[in-house]
This record gives sequence, structure tokens and C-alpha cells, in this order.
Amino acid sequence: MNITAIGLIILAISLLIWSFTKDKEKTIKGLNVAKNMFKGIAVEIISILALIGLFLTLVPPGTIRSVLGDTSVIEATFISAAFGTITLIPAFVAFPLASSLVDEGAHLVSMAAFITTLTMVGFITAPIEIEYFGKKFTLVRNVLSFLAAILISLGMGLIL
Amino acid sequence: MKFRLETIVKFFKDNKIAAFTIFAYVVVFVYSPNLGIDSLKMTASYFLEMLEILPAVFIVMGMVEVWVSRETIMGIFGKGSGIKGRFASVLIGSFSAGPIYAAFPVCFTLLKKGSSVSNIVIILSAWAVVKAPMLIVETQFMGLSFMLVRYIFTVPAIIMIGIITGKIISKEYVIKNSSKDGLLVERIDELLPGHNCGACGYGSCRETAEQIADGDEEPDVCVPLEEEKTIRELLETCS
Repeated sequence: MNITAIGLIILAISLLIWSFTKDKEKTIKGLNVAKNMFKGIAVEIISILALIGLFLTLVPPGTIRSVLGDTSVIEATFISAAFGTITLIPAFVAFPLASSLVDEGAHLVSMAAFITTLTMVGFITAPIEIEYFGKKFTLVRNVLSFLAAILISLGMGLIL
Repeated sequence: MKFRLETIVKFFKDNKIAAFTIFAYVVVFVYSPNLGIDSLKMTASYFLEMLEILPAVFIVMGMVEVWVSRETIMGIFGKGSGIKGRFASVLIGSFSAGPIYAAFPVCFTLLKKGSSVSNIVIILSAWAVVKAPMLIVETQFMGLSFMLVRYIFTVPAIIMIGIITGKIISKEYVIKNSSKDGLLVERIDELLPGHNCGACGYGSCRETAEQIADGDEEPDVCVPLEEEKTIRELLETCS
């Protein structure tokens, strides 16, 4: 368990205790809200996790590596950004993966694009985002984030 | 609820992703059971990782929902909160745990409570890419200069994304198009008589409220109901 998870759990527990001592009824109401929201999203989260599990089993990191083999920096940047868009890997796994790709010859710029789209643009998570915020919001946010990821990585290419 | 074929069909209609996922797994299992088992194992490890943080995320949201007033949120993240609101959004995002889909419900709660659309987008993006605890991991694997330069570019970029999205999408649109509202059940439950009389066919008023909120039952299923009009108005504003 990492430090943010522990911090979050401590925060949740202390909030609960504080809330209970102040107003029991309000707290129960809050927990009911939490329960309803959780119920509303549980099936989707499990489905998405199962899809990610399937995807990473069928397309192991080795395959991603070979695709990014010998292409130009710009081309590799777009391919990496696209890969980052359709996959959803925890960031803790993404950095070691990106670093191993750099060792095998991938350009830093394309890895910046990969990391940025990976975390910010979500193709697999789009259905959940639509449920919460609607189609137009999801489309605009993801397209803008994709473009930003390309610009960020190309900008980094100029400096690094 | 009767468990018949219709119930199953309805479940899949309501949960298209689940239907697709199950279908994909069936195909993979038929093709190669070993691949299927490996995928399930990988899924299980992600699931456990999620279980570490999700209950806490939802509890924090529930507490925010009942304790933090609309005015407070509007002051910090609302329209006109200016540059302070932008940086507050970056900060709150970067100190949160979990992947981006854990951020959706939190941001939705903040939005209902008065945050602006642009600041929601900033929180979402910061939540995804500007992770304070990940700084160390990123530096360790990619080097200090890579990390620093990426952050110097990313923070202004996500603020821009937020501002542009806020210009294109109105808050009314988001509220209208959202199909997630944990509060809806609460509000309907409050309006039902609360005798748990069972005349509607459900065991408790709470169950009935859940059915009405999901749109599976009409409010008039409740026999002694007096607040039918209010519930209908509520459903209309939330759907």
C-alpha cells in the first residue's frame, strides 16, 4: 500500500470520527450518499478493470516496445500518445515501463507524450466520464488533453 | 424483483461496458483458457489496489456532501474564484490518490456544490498527471530534469485546458447530462411516507426510492404518497 492510499484512509477515518462526534444523523446521511454513489459505479469499475487486465495480457509491454522500435521522433510521439490514450496503466507501472523503453532506444519526447496521455486521456474510462459529465464534456476534455500532451512533449523535446 | 430473462437483459442494457467485457472474456476463454486466467489474475490485482482507496474516496465525498456548504465551495472553486481557484484546483488534484476514474465522482460532487466547470477540469487533469507522490517515482526512473521540465509545461497546460473547456461547456449542460446522482435516492426517500407499508411491493420505502431514482418505477407506485408532484419535479431536474 502506498503513502497516498494510507494518507487517504487516515483522512477518511478521521473525518468520520469527527463527523460522528458532531452530528450522528448527518454522518449516517453522508454515509448513505457514499453508499449510493459507490453502488452506482461499482459494476462499471469492475468491468473496466477486467478490460484492462485483458488488454495487458493480450498486448504485453514487449509488444508495445517492438512497435516503438525504429520510427522518427514525431511519428513515435504520435504513436506513443495514441498508445497512452487507449491503455490505462497505473502511473507506478508506467514510469518503469517508460524508462525501460528509453533504454531500448525510444525517445524521451515520445515517452513524455505516452505518460501524459496515459494518465490524462482515457479511452477506456470515457464511458464512466460520460455517465458523470455528458458526452460533449468528455469529448472536449479528452481531445484538448491529447493535443496538450503532444504540445507538452514537443516542447520538452526543444529543451531536453 | 423477479429474476427472469428480462431482468438480465435490462441489466446488460444498463451496463453496456459490463456486457462488452463479459463477451470479450468469453471469446478469450474459448480461444485460450490460459490467457483468460492470466487476465483474471491481473484484474484481481488491480481490483485489490482499487479496494485500498475507493471506500475512503467515497466516504470523504459523503462527508463533503453533508458538511461543506455550497457557499464555501463556490468561494474556493466557483466562477469568479480567479487565479486562487485555479491553483487550489491544481493542489487538490495533485494531492489525491487513485486513477482518474476515482476523481469523476469527487469532481461531480464539487460541481453540484458550486465549483465551476473549468476548475473541475483542472482538478481532473491535475489528479491524473500532477501527482505529488509520483514526483519521486518519476525522478527515480526518468531523471530530475525530465520530471521538472514536464511539470513546468504541464501545469500551465492543464489550466489552459480547464479554461477552454469551461468556455465551451456550460455547467447546466453537465448537470443535465449526468446520470449519476447519489443524492437523488436520498431526496426521494425523504419525500416518501416512510411507513414501510409494503403496498408498492417493495420491502421498504428506501428500496422504492432506489427504484424510482433508477427510473424503474413511477412515483405513483407508492400508494399513500402525498409528495408525488415534488418527486416528479425532482426526477425531471435530475434526468
